[in-house]
Amino acid sequence: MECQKWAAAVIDSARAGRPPGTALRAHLDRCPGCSERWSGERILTREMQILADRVANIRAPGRVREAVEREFERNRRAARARWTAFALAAAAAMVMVAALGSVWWKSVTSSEARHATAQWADAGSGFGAGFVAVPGALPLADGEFVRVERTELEPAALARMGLSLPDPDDDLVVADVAVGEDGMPRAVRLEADPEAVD
Amino acid sequence: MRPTDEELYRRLRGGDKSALAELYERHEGALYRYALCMSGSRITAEETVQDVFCRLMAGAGRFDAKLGSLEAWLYGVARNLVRRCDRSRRRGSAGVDTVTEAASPGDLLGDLLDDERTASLYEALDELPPRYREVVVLCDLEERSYEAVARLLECPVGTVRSRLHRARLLLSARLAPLKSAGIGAGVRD
Repeated sequence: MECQKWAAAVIDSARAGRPPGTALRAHLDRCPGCSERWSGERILTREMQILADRVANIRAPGRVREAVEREFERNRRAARARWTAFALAAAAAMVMVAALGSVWWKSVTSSEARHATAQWADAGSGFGAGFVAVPGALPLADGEFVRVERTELEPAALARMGLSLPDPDDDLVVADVAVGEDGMPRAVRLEADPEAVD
Repeated sequence: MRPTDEELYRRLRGGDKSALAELYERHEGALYRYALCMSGSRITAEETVQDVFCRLMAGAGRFDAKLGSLEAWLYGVARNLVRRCDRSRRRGSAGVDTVTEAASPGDLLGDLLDDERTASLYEALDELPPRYREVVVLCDLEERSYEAVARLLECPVGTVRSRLHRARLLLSARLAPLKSAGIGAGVRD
């Protein structure tokens, strides 16, 4: 039992290259088994030290380092390619969103404009009947004033406004144009209904 | 001021090649010797070192500084790789070179182990169960403290100490016949 108590001290002292302490020395002097163990541990420590010295400078061959560096470069290229692909995908997605948004906005605004202008024209809101909404024109804002101007228009100009002319052979057509505060035409009425003008 | 392993790891993850060079310089030798002594195979040791660093770069089984030191992580990966190679070797799926090397561990270090006693010690070490061999390699060959080895192996200091004591008993027992045959160095008290 007492020997077990000293076993750790024997090994630790031998490994550290220290002489045994007073108490351990006393035990070693009266215990042949532990004394033999002490000698054995010192020999083992010496041999282990020789082995440690011999293997201390062993390094992996240079090819291992080269392989690791090649892997690093491969990883870096792969990471760069991933980022490039990601950036391209993100840019493409943004362009697509912008394009779709633009198409959607145009369709919404033109349909709203058509709807509002048609309502305004059909309702004859203060301009009397006979006005035809200019397709694609923006709707009037709340409280926006309009003025009606009589003018002569080329049939092509009417066509550009999306209106069809009863007699396309006319050079000029007299028409009343309802113009918003922004100067943009909202509705047109041909002279064929002159009695409808206020 | 010398950057810590963890700082170097962060730089490595950011693509800094000099951080890889520094980490490799710091740990490659000890990892290689550890793998060599644990596996008894140069090929396995080379593959282990290469795989450890490749995993570090790839972030596979990613290192987490909250769970331990980078060095412990490196040794943990190395230990698993060596064990895997050991299992493969036992199943007989290892390559010819590995089998040849494993069959003659005494030749492994070539001219370095020129005297019979040291070669015998190396062979005795190679025959120890891995958990004992590991602490001998780290404590006695790499000359690390019990505390440092406990951190690397992520186990209590008492476990390291008891395994080392047990390992040395086994080594002494295996070397005793040689000693009685007169091979070995005497030590005076």
